[in-house]
Amino acid sequence: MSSRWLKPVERWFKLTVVPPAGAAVIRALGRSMRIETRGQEHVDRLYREGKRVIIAFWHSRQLMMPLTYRGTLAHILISQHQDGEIIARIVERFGFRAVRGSSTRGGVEALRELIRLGRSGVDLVVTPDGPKGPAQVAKMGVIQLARVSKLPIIPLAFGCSKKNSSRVGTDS
Amino acid sequence: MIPYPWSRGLFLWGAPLWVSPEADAAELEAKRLELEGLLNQLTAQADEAVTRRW
Repeated sequence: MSSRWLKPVERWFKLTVVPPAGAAVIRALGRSMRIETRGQEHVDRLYREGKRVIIAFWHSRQLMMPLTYRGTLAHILISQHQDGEIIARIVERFGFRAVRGSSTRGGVEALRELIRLGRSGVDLVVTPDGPKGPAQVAKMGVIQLARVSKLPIIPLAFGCSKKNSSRVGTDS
Repeated sequence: MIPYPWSRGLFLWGAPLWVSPEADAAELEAKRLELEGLLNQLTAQADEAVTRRW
C-alpha cells in the first residue's frame, strides 16, 4: 500500500478508532483498580462557596485524571499536535471540553481563551510542565492564568502501585 | 504513567494556591516555584502512599 493511501487510513484510525478505545481502556482500568481519593475537601470547599478552580497536575500523571473530576464542567488545555487531537477526543467522551494550544504553539490565543472561560464560570485544567517538558518544571503560563482569572490553582496528583515508567502522551 | 490493571491508585488533591492580581514579576516567579514544589511533593506523597500497604 502506498503512503498516499496509508496516511488517511492512519489518520482515520487515530481519530476515529483510538479515542473511543482509549476512553474504554481508562474506564476499564479504573474499574479494575482499587482507587482511593484524599484531600478532596480542599476543592469541595471551594465548590460549596460557588468558586471555580484551575486544576493542575504533571503531564506524566494525566491518564486517569478524567475519573477524579468533581465539578460540573471543565475546559482542558491540550496541545495542537495530532496526539493532542486524540487526547481531546478522549476527554470529550468524559464530558470535558478542550482548548487547543500550548507554550510551543497557539499558546497566546489559548491563554486568552482560558481567561475568558475562567471568567465565565467553568473550571480549567492544565499540565504546568506541558507536553514537551522539561518534566515537572512548571511554566509561567498557569501562574499568569491564575493572576488574571483570579481563580485558585488546585494541585492534583495521581499515583499507582507496581507502576511502570512509561509516560503517556509525551509527544502530544 | 499507565497503571497496571488491578493495581492500587490514589488521587491526591492539594490545598489551593492563590495568585494576587497585583503580583509583580518576583512574586509570580515565587508562585511558580511554589506550585512546582507543591506538585512534586503531592506526586511523591501519592507514589509513596500506594507503594506502602494502606
